[in-house]
Order: sequence, then structure tokens, then C-alpha cells
Amino acid sequence: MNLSVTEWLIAAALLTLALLLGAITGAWAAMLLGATLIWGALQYRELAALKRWAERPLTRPESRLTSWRNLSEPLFDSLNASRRRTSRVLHRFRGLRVLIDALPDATVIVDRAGEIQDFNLAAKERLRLRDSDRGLDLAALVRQPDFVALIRGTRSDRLIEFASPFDEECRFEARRIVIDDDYVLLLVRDVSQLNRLLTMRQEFIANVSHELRTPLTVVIGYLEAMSSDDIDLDTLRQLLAKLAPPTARMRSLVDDLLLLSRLEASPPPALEDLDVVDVGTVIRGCVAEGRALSEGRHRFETDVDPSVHLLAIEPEIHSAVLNMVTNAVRYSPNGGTVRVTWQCTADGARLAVRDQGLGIAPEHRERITERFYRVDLAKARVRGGTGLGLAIVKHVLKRHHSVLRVDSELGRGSTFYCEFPESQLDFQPAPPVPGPSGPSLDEAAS
Amino acid sequence: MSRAHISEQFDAELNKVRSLLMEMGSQVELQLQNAVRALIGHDIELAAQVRAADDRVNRLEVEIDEHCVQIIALRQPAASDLRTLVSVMKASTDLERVGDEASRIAKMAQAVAGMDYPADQYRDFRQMAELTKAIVVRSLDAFARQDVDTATTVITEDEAIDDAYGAMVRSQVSLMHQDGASIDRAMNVIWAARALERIGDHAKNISEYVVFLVKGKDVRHSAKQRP
Repeated sequence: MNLSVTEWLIAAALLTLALLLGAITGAWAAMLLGATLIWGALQYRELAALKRWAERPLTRPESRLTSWRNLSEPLFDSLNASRRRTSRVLHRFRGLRVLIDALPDATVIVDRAGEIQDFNLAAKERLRLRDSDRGLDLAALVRQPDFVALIRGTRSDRLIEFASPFDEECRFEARRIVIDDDYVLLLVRDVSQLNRLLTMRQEFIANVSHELRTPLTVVIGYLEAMSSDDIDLDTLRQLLAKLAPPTARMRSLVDDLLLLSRLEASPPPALEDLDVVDVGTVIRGCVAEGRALSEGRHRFETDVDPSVHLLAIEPEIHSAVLNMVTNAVRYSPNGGTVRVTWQCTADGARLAVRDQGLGIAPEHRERITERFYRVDLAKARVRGGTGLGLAIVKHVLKRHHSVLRVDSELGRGSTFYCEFPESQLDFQPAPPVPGPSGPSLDEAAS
Repeated sequence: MSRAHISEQFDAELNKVRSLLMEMGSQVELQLQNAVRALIGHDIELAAQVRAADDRVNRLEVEIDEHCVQIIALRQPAASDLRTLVSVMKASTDLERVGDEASRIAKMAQAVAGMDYPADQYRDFRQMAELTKAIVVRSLDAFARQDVDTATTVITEDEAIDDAYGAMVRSQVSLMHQDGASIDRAMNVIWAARALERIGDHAKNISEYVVFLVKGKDVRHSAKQRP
């Protein structure tokens, strides 16, 4: 270490002073020793300052002597550099941690023995892991035989599905990915929702096939009868006439299916695509069709406010109302009254179809808008209908920002209704005729 | 607690028996869950599956015993290693019994499957089964985590199952009084509930081994003296 000019000067001054005093007093040795002690004390003060700084090296060290400064400054600089590096690494690490925790799949890294190395937030929730579980055997904490086998790598497939050991309703899908010789990554995904959808699709396909097969079987039966050689023209005509109902049934089923898939697939209609629908006219048309279906077995009443029009897509509203009316006919005993109303309410308008039919038990109410859902499967065939009616109604209403609701009492009848907000209505000037706009009673013929 | 031994092989052997026990635990938990589902859902197939799978549990118990005996003979373990081996062996016996009881429930499930559904849809039984499953899961969790706190709460919670069992017996008996035709089913349900109650006892035992394993203290048969 090279001493700086000041230090040389101090040393020289001390030495000169010692020699001078030595010459005066004659105590050479004592004077030289004194000078050395002062020099030592100076150095010791610097050393102590450096030690104090080293205990808390946050600020720049204050070394007065240059040779000491030459030592402490580079120390401080390299310390600072390493601090900056650490904070950069820490920052990146935190970023990665956030990223990993944001992953929706439970992610766990285990070593070859199956001991937990690290995991993310989703794993904490889904696999009920705790921070203190690092180093424990994952298979001991998530105990499901298939999953245990997956962790241990004792099975050939790297993707399994199993019921969550924590919640029977939950289905998990787990995947094993070997990272390197030492570590294995396990990803666990919640597939309950997906599974439910798959089941629904399978059920739907099974239902459609079944619904189509029944009339088809009838058609095939008649066709076989027709193809016999000794058949006369009259019988042939009779048989041909019998082909009409099952084929009509198949067509209505296919029509409903197409309508339903179109409703589901297309986005909600834009404002400029909407018609001003005269709901009263729609209702009259549907009631006429309902009357035809009823063949005089039911009474029909309508109570319509003709001044309220609806901004909607006319054919869709028509099929919704028609389905509600024909449902009411199908599920009412003979002589029952079907009442269709279209009236203003406090904040919009309400469309309702009331029947005096069987009513719907509470446990079925949630599910009646599901496709092919039948309250009474045995009688469904007799009543007719495709089983898609209420599903169509539900989707039409959803596209028009409304919801199908049901009030029902078992054995007394049901009211299916929906409400439209004022923003979707169009108020027409009241028609000049026929007198007061009270309810117009309208009875079935015969 | 698992300090490294000079011999890494020894550590590996100890880990092996621990993980075998947990594998057995996972199997038993599934058996119990399926047995209960089979009974509630009148599912004969699932019940048969549960009874068939009991064999796997029994095989695991034998395997664990063999490993433990071999380690004791070759390594002459002491202190916490010995406690680990002893508690793994004892816990495996209890787990095997839980498996047996699950088979018993499956047997009852097969018996009731042909009968009418009860009016209460097995509500009491379902509740008791939930309690029992939870206690089994928690005692195995406590074993895996060497968690004395959980273990001690499990030991006291076992009483809730005993109470539920008492209540179930009473309600089934009153059902039998009201309706003679329900006796067959009610008897089977009582047997199944009895199996659940026993499973609760085994789970409690496992928790007691956890306390023994971690603290080296035997807390069996001392429930009343504990503060």
C-alpha cells in the first residue's frame, strides 16, 4: 500500500517533532516511542471507523486517511454492485412467482422421490397444500390411488383423470411432465365443467336419435307393408296417408333443432335489425294455431294492450309465443282455459300464458327448459311436441334481454311469463275503434 | 424430523415404508368413499368393485410389514426411527381394518340395493359418512405432515361420530317400530353405520400414533386425563 502525501507529511512532522523534543530533552527513546504511539492511534482510529461502517455498510464509508479510503471505497462500490444485481434478480424472481401463481392449473414440482419442491397458488387451493409442505411426499398429501401412481411414475400414461379426493363432485385431470433427471412437473386441471358439458352433449345426441328413430320406425313399418306384391291401390292409399303424421313429426323435430341451433349460434340481434312487432297480432295468430291443435277441447282468452309494440325479431317472437301456447294446450285437461295476456307493467310490459293444466312440481321447474327434459316421460309421446319448445322460448327470450319465468301450482296450472324493459317497447297511438281498451274476451268456437 | 443418516440407504428405506403407508391410505380412502356412494346410490356394481379391491389393501399391509421387519432386523433402529417404524406398522393394521369395514359397508350396500329407497334418502347415514370420511382424511393428513395439533383435534372429534351413531340407531329403531317392512333395510343401515363408527375409532388410533411418533408419548387410553 502506498501512502499518500498527507500521510507522509504527518509521519514526517511526527518524526521531526520527536527528534526535536529528543534533542531538547535528551529522552530520545521516549520521544520516538511517543511519536510511534500517536501514529498508531491515528491508524487505529481509521480501523475502528471502518469496522463501524462494516457493521452497517449502507452509506459511503468515511475514511480520513487516503490509504484507508483506497481500501474502503472499492469495497463499498463492489458491495453496491452486488446489491443492484441481487435486487434485479429478486425483481425477476418476483415477476416469475406472480406469473406462476397466475397460472390457472395447479402446478407442483417434485423431485424423483416425490417430495414437493415448489408449487403455485392454484395448487394451494386445489390440492390443499400449505407453505410448510415443501419437502413432504406429495403422494401422502393428495391421496388418490391413480394420482399416487402418476407421481411415482409407475404407470405408463402421463395423463389421468380422477375424482378429487377433497370434493367428490370435482373431477381433476393430471399430467406428468419430466423436467430433467431430478425433477418432475405435475399439472392438475379442474375438468368438472368440461365433463358436465360432454355429458350434456352425449345426452343430447342420444335424445335426438331416439326422438327421430321412433317415427322413423313407424315409416319403415309402413314401407315394408307397401312393398308386398299383392297390395291393391286402396290399401296403398290408406298406408300412404298414414305416413304423413310420422314424417311431419320428424320434420317439426328437425325444424326445431335447426331453429334452436341458429338461435344459439347467432349473436344477439343488433338494434337496427329489430322489427316493431305488433304482439297482439302475433298472439292472435298463435291462438288460432293453438285452437287448431286443441280441436275445440279448450277455451282461449286473450287480453292484449294493442298500443304496446315490441322491438324484436318477429319470427322468433312468433315461435316463442306459439311454443308457449301449444304447451299450454298440450298440458291442460279438456275444457281448460288458456289465457294469453300482453300488458304494460310499472317498468315495461309483460307477456303471460296461463293454463289450467297439471302444474309443475318445484323440483322440475329448474330443468324444464333443458332440451328433451320431460316431467313425465311416459306420457310425453301421447302429448306430442318435440321436447324442444321451452328451450326455444328460453333462447329467444335470452336474445331479447328477457327471461322465461314460471309460476306454478301442482294440479292447478302454470303461468309462463316474461317481462320486457321499457327500452324495448314502442308505444303506438291507441287505435280509434273499438271503444274502451278493456280486455277483449274471445271464446273458442263450438 | 428426518435427519439424514450416514447411510442414505437407510433413509430411502424409511421413506419407502412411509410412502407405502400413504399409498395404502389413498386406497382405503377411495374404498370408503365408494362404499358409501354404493350404499346411498344403490349401486351394486360399485359395491362389488369395493369388495374386490380390498385385496389390494391387504397386500399393501403385508408388504409394509415385511419392509418394517426387515429394517428392524438389519438396522436395529433407535429413537425416532424406531418410533416411525412402530407407528407405520400399527397404522397399517388400522388402515387394513378400515378397508375391511369399507367392504362391510359395500356388502350392506349390495343387500339394500334391491329394496325401496327410504323416505329420508339416507340423510342421517350420509351425514355420518361425511364426518367419518373427514376424520380419516384428517388423521392421514396429520400423519403425512406429522402434525400433532390436527392429530389431537381428531382424537377428540371421534366422539362426534359416536354421537351420530347413537342418533342413527335410535332413528332407525323408531323407523322399525313404525313400519315393520323397513326392518330389513334398517338393520342393514345400522350395520353399515356401525362400520362407520369403527372406522372413526381406527382413524382416532392413527392420530394417536402421530402424537406418539412426534412426541414419543403414548396418549392411548388417556383421553380423560388430558387437559
